[in-house]
Amino acid sequence: MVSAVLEDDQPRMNKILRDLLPVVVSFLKGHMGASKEDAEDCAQQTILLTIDTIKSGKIRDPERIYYYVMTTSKNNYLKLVDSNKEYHFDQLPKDAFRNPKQIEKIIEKERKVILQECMEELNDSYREFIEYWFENPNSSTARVAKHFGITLNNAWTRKHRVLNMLNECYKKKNEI
Amino acid sequence: MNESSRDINIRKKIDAYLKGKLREDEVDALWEEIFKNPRYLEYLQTEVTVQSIVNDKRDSSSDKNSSGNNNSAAGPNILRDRRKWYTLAAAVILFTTFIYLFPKVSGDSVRGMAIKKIAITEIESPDVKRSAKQNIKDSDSLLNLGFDAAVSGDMGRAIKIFTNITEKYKNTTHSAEAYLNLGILFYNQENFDKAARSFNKAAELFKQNDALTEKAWFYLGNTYIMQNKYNSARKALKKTVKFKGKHQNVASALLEEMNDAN
Repeated sequence: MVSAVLEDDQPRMNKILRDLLPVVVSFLKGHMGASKEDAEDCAQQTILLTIDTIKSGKIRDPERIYYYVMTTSKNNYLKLVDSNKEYHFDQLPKDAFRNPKQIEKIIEKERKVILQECMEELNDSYREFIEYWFENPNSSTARVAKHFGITLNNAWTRKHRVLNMLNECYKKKNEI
Repeated sequence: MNESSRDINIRKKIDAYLKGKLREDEVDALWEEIFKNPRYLEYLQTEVTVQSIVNDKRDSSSDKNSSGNNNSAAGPNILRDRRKWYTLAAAVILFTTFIYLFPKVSGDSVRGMAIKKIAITEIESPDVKRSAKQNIKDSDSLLNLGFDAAVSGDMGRAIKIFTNITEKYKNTTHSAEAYLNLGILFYNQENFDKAARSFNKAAELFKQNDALTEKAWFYLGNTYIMQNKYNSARKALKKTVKFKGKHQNVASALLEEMNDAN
């Protein structure tokens, strides 16, 4: 990212920013509990600020640029929350930063509908496996492996395979 | 680490994150990885969405079951309930015996799992709704000032402000919040004696807010672990688990680790 900005490599920069923006938005929504609008505002501010900082040569360790982006987005959001306190308290979630369900804010309705279809298209054994995994979130992987009579490594491999299948299925259906 | 094992490692961390089993610093490290490799975001989104689909399915089938059960005869349910209670009682007896027989813990693995630093975002600030046309009280403003000082890194000032609140507004929710915040700041300074006193006081003062009481017990449990006071840690973490809140999973994992470390 740092070299793309410093070399003013526009196509590379566009690709990086296109990929990065949704990550910053998801981080603010899922981890910080931000609303969609706040997350989008802060993410844009963060990207602009990061580009300015890179251009002004203030980034000492280009390796940690993503850590810088993450921290800057967090600080931007905290500042926004702090300034909102005076004017928009009613919009602040009471349990901001501590709601265990806030990660669900990254769920997109359309993705959920498509993934639901994809799950129905899975073969029985894969569907049974992935449903068991998520129905028992507090179970250890060892217990899941024992339930299906497979090794621990195979349990992980199977989970990743099924999620990859679902991902691919989502991408295909989303393109249509 | 090659790309494939790195990939598997990240995916396992995503799984642990969603199960609430990562410490704050591990969560930050995971998000940094996702920032570096946005394709992991896709994986995280799929995982969270599939979890939500399965939860919806389970909820709708349990609704159907419970309405079906209402029509069945009471007898077998009572028997089932009794069996459940006997099993539960046996489990409690076994667990109590276990704790009684093996009270000592080898602490390194447990301390390794305890929180290293508590995120500043966990600092409490006042809960005031402008829509309710409430007047902002002095204690609210002070809590805000303390929050600002902590967020901007001026811990000395933050400690002074929160201490001031505990002295001025004794036995109020604001003083409970101030104690909780003091506990967090002392914990991060590794001043565990003062952190334990502050968290204890916060847990004692919070009366109507389950989320905050749970938080106070959870951090108190972690503080006791850092002080090697494992029996007290167990008590605090068991209280945490009872709230079935945000920290339930991690508190249970710490309790399990304390048992395994015997």
